[in-house]
Amino acid sequence: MSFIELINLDKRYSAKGNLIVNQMNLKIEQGEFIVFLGPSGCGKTTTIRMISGLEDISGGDITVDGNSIVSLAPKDRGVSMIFQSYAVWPHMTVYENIAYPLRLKHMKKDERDVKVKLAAEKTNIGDYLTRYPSQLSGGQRQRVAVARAMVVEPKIFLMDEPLSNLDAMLRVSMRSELKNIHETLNATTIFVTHDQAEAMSLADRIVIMKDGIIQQIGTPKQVYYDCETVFVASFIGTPPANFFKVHLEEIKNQLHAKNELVDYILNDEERVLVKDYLNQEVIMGIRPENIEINTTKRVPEGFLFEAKADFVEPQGSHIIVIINQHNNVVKVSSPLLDLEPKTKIFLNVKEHRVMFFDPITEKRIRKV
Amino acid sequence: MSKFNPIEKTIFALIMSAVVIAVLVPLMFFLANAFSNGTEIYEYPKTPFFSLTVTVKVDYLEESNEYQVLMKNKSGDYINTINSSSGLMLSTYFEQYFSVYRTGEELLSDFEITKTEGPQEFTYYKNMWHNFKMFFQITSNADNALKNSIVVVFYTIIISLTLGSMSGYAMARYRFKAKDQISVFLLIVRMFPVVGISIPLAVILIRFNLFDTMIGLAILYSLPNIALTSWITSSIFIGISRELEEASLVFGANSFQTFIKITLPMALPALAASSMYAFLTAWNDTISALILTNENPTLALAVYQAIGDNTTNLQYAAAGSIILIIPALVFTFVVRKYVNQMWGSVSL
Repeated sequence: MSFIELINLDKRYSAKGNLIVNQMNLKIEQGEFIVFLGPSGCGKTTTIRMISGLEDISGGDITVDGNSIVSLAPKDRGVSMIFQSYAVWPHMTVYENIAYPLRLKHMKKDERDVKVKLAAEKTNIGDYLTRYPSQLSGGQRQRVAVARAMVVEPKIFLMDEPLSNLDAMLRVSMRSELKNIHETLNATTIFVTHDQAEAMSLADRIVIMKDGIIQQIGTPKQVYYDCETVFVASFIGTPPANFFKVHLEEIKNQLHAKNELVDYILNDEERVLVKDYLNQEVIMGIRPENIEINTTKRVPEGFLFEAKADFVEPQGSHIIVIINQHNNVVKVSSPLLDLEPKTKIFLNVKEHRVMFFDPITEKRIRKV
Repeated sequence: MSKFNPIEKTIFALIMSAVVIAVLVPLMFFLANAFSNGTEIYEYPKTPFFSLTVTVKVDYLEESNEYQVLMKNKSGDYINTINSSSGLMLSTYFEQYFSVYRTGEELLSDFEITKTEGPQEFTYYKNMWHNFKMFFQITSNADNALKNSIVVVFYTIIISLTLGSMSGYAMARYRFKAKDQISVFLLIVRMFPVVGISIPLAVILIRFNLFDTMIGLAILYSLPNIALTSWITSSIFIGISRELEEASLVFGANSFQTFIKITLPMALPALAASSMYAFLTAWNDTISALILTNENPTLALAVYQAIGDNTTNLQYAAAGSIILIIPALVFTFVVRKYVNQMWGSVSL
């Protein structure tokens, strides 16, 4: 049995309104770091608010350790939360802020003192205990919020876009600190973000959501290289995957995936995969770094098309080559740092790393 | 200031000094009246400064064996006040009209010198508290009235802050039918002239046996202040981020604890401002107190009655007004600290 289970979870804000969260099923193991990732309005924040008890649920169930928690008040659920706006109380000092949850538990003063100081030490705000939040910087306020969430020693840690109000530098350093805290406390953590870099670097497993529906649950590697839907492939990665709407036709015993630009010959493994789609359309998705650029010769294995590089964007360690032809925008990540724009190039897929999607359901075509 | 050019600076300075004068001048005349003695109060033209001393010129009249006392007024002229040889009479007169406390023997021995040396000027210090003492003497129930005033203010603040802040919170946080209409209606209550409500309320209060009680009076004062408090606090409550309350709920508080420990302290500036208005309404009102009380007047009413009863001794009523002002001043200055206290750059 899993630690946290969301069972057919539904949420709508009014009786006849849209489903903000639609039949959500998720199992989370103890000590896992789960990241909810998705564009704004996809229901990820609503979901963790339902877990925390700040939002009622419209259908389904949430269980922790096998017991349903939906009828419990937020304070009885054993959760602690870090809010997007930090939610540090401005009329209390840092010490009072951190001690507040303990005071409500009627903890003895000296015991409380030790815990507050320890939490403050861990988050590097030990010197600011007597200050008010208005005297602190954004990053320090964030630490107060983290310390306050730590001090209650929760079973479940909920983080609602805690890094989105910080500047880029702080965000990266806070990110590793949060990861560190998770490792030391080993509390089950659910982290909400719309930033895929955050999600990739923090998560044990990522839950990608769109319009209240889970698109894919998987490790960072899985959601990147083994996408379940077109949405996941297009949402994850900078630049995202390239998509080609192709027609599958058999020519001279070879299966070609063709459109006005691409003419790709499938290997045997891929032929088996898409055998139901012969003479039909499919969507081909290829990650930018899985396309190889050849400037000199055409290599038949995995050949896609030949074109002129329209733009070249240097990124330091690599370049992004942009090809805009026949209404297809193709972005390729390449190590050829000296590539000039307008040169003729041949593009190949590395090791046949192509993902095929059904054009109607936009779901991945998998082996049956 | 550096962003203004010289002309703007001058205009700004002129406006500011006009404001200062507009506040200071009436205040000074007010103080001058309150510290005047029985003679100075009828002087014309009035000066905005009060004097600490009284200067009299005393002449010995041989034919009647009397001292002629002439008081020097502020323009330097002498006014004939009393001719007498009796120490008791002189002493009484000095106390009543000059606010100078000196026994008959002391005065007679002071004046002795004029018999040989001719007319002399004497300068005596006024007893500055004379008017205040007299105010409490002539308004026999003044200390009771002071107590009443404090009680009614206390009740008014309690009633209007409790009900007002609760309705303000509801206005800010919940959606319900006719919310806009209710909030406008609250403002309309504020527009009622108190006299208009006082008379029908008197009838109701008599029914409930609350006529001539402070709680009855406080109910009347609370009516407009509940509305005002609700408006002031709801705008602050709207500004308080919901996440702050939600954080409290997640970290172990129930919603009542959250309201008391998180929401209310952050709304303190609004509550302080509202309590100031409630205080001033209850403390300064005379007309409703006149209608709704009989034997238990408030201090403001007592001062009003002192003017009515003593048209000859206006300085006593002025002294009563000073007594009325002081608690209001103290309260306002204490509360002002909280009104200004916003919590730094953290958005509420």
